[in-house]
Amino acid sequence: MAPDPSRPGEPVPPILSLSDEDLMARAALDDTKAFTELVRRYQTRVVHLVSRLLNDREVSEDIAQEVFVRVHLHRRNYRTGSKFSTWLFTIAANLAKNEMRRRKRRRNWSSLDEMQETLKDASLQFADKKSNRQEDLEREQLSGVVGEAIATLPDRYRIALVLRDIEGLAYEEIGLALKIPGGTVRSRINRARLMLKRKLEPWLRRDDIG
Amino acid sequence: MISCERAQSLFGPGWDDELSVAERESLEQHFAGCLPCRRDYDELARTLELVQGLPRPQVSGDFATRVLAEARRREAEGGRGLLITRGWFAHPARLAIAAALVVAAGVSGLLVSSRPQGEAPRVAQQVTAPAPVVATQAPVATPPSTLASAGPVSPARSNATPTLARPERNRPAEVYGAIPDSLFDHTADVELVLDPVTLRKERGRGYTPVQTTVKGEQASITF
Repeated sequence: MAPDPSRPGEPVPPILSLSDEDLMARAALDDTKAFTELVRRYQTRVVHLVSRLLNDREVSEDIAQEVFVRVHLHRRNYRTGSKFSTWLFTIAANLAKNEMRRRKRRRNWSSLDEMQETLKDASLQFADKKSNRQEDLEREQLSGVVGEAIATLPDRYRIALVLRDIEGLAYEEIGLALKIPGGTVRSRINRARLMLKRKLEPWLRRDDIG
Repeated sequence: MISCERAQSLFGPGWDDELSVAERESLEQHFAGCLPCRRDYDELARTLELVQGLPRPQVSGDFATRVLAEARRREAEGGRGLLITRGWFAHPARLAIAAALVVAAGVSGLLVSSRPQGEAPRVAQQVTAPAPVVATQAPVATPPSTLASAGPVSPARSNATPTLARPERNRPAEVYGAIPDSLFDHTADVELVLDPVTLRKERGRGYTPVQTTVKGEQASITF
């Protein structure tokens, strides 16, 4: 068994059994396999996070790629002892926020009004057609509605909600990632949840959803 | 029984499973007598179930390979592209200003270091040099009375990055070597310009005057 580059003299444990932090320590020493394993572990979560923040599946993979490229370029700056996922999601949230700002500046982003209009139309469509209610609402359609509802939330609430309720980060981790106090994290998540509930009420009050 | 307002404030912690036993019991007791709150909580729970049930995207099979290839390409370019995409430096004009400041600081530093040994530093002229980062610090760091009596530049310091008018007294080189850099270390000031920090918009921290306890002619200073 070859020696572990991050722990000289010790045998290399199987890469799959290593923690994220151990993998990062190895990646900092230019261990390509360790870095690739980290990408493999988190690629879906990062793409999902970005696509939910931007509501744009097409560019989410490109931005997720940029997230991991940044991790690789800054691998020697990673502070041992800090949680890798928090660091990773901080980078992802920052890049997504940059993209949101860029879109707003360039006015390519579908306006909130437009989205809310779409949401309202879809809501009316389902609410009014009780007779045509489908037993099995297509999941894709419902996902689209939920995704759009999330996208209409103000940026700061959306980011907090996605990190908590989609990525499952702890409140403390979200505070670290967004550089905001714990109380602010809680209040943003709380408000985001209530706003989202209000937007989805037409679906929630139907008997066959849930 | 708790109020509706109190009950609603427990919805979030309830969903996150952060309620104490007593809080949970009081919430359930409230739900038993308040159907609107019960319905509100159910709707919140269903909302969050829908959010958590959103399908995860399929990532391309060669994603990791592409990431690595791109990272290596950027690394081969010396991380180029990384610096200019970050915050304040992302704007080309700002980057150009920062570069000009660095060059100006370097040039003025060279001018100072090329001063003949034994000649006292001429601060009065130097502070007007086109290097704001360095020049503006000089008067603060060196009172004029000290400068007037300044001796020759110590050989131990002459190889360091040139700085303006640090008070030099006739001390042996080893004494200077043992003195740690002060707050007025101009080398560090220049590094602030070079360091690719992300500048953020933030509320300024107001000036807080130092509280002193002075009574009559007595002052107590604690270290």
